[in-house]
Amino acid sequence: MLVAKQLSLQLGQKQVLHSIDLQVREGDFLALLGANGAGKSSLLSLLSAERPLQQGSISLNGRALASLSNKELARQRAVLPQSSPLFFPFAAEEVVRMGRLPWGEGRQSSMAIVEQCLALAQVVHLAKSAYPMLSGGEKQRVQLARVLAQLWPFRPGQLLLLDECTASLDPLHQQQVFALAKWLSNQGLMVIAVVHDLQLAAQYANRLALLAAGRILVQGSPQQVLTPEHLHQAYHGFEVEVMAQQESVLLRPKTLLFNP
Amino acid sequence: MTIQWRQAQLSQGLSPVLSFYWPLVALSLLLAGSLLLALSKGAIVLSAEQVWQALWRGPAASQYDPQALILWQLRLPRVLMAALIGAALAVSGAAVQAVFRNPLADPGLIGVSSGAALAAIIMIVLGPVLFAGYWGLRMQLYALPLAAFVGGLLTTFLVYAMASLGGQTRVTMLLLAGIAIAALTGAISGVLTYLADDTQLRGLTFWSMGSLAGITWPMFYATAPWLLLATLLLPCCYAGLNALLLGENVASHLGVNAQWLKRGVIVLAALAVGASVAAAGMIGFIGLVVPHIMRLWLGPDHQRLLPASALAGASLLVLADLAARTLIAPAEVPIGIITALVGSPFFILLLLQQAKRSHFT
Repeated sequence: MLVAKQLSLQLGQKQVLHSIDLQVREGDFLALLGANGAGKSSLLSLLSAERPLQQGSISLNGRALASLSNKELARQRAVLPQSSPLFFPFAAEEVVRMGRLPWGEGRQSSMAIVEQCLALAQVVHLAKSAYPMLSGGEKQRVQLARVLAQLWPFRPGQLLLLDECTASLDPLHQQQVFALAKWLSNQGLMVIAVVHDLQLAAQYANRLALLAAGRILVQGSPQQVLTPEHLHQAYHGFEVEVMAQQESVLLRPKTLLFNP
Repeated sequence: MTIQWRQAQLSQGLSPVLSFYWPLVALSLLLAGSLLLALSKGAIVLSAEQVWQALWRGPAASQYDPQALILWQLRLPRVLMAALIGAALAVSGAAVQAVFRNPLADPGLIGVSSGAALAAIIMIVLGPVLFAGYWGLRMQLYALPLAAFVGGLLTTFLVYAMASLGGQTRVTMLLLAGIAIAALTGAISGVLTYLADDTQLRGLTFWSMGSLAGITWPMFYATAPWLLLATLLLPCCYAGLNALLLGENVASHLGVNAQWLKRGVIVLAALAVGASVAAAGMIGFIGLVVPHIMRLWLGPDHQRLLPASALAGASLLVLADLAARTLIAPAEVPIGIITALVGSPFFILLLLQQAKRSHFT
């Protein structure tokens, strides 16, 4: 379980986050939504311990995040960033093997895990390709395999953070990545994803948190969060029509007339 | 990388451990061969057997045996120094390239060499003023390498402090500060060169092109620990350096303390470059070319790249020094000229090949 209490963050003169409270239980798939600059990525960087805490507290499975050693933390939480440039000609499978770094096992046993993770991310055919030569989407899927290798063998209580990770993916692979993340949350992992695609969030996440100006405007189930009023408020006058609200939410944005 | 894949196919029949490590074994043999060759060749040629006998009898034999004297007092310190400098420069180059995430980075970029060079030039030109008299002259002998060493370290820390303002070390700042400092030291060196007299100028030129002539055991003992430190410690950081190539954030997500790793690598490289400049002047190209060639051959995995670079760099400098002292004997060619003459065409060839395969990013 991940418990964040009263998180505030100031960068320079700007107050980026205002006393955020957040709880994520094992098996939860939480989508962080919000307009550009709402504080989603800053919140994620605090939850990943990438940025030191200024105010508030975060605990992961009962222990303060700051008290965990680098290695302990790396075995419990993995982060898939928006993009990972790499200019050296590593083969894709070697990149995936770097995910095993916190576990420090031998080359052969790690290669067995790497193979399974390549298969889960559906990039087995890229295993021997030079990473810098791959397309943006292929790189991202290889990175997904690396993140899977880091969390292998997927124990309940592990934390997976996705930071706008589907930006470079085509629709099929977006669905694939989120389906995989959903499957991981069904294994008991906690998944937190920064998402811009509301429909994708509604489809896969069981909990949504809508951020606006560094505060959580509303959090809860997709049905509770994705209402025209909330979205209008969080996205600065974005007009959206909710088509269905029972089993899943279906949104239809109203056409904007561009009038320069 | 075509070379790499071909090699992977070639070694499929071998056991995984052997196929991973055989290039290191081959390079070790190359180094052993180079050392033996360099010990036997020179003004007086010794056979492999004579070299072995003289080594076996120990340094005490120098008192009555001229062959042992040549080997123990002249060739051994020089050859070992060449091997250590070559290893340390190549391994530092490879590690610094990982920290900067740029295959064309060089310890020189962060201002180590320029700082060391400036201090040495100050010492050569202003030394006679600073250290007048008999004792001054004697001190100047040791003051030059010491100044180069201290100058290199001071510049590195200055550049590093500038880049670390505001908590974390930014690589762009590090590079820009390094370039600025290099330009500044270049300008000051220019002024001092203008002030220098003819003898000093000749000393300056020789020193700035590098030379292992006149390496003695005291000089070896004074610089070897720093070179050894970098050569032995840097290869242990291979896993962290691999992760660092994915970016500092990703490395820290993988449990690597990226800040400390960067600092450690830069300090170790600065120590190694400072010590090598102190012992042998400026020797270019080893830190850039050797890791690059090794990367083309073995791929970018630092677990193999770092030891392979050390072994290849050591062999290359031992052979270059052998050429330096035998090509136009009894005179000597500055070793920096040899490494550049051999290194640059080879490097250009490699770059062209690489560009043809459009791997260059």
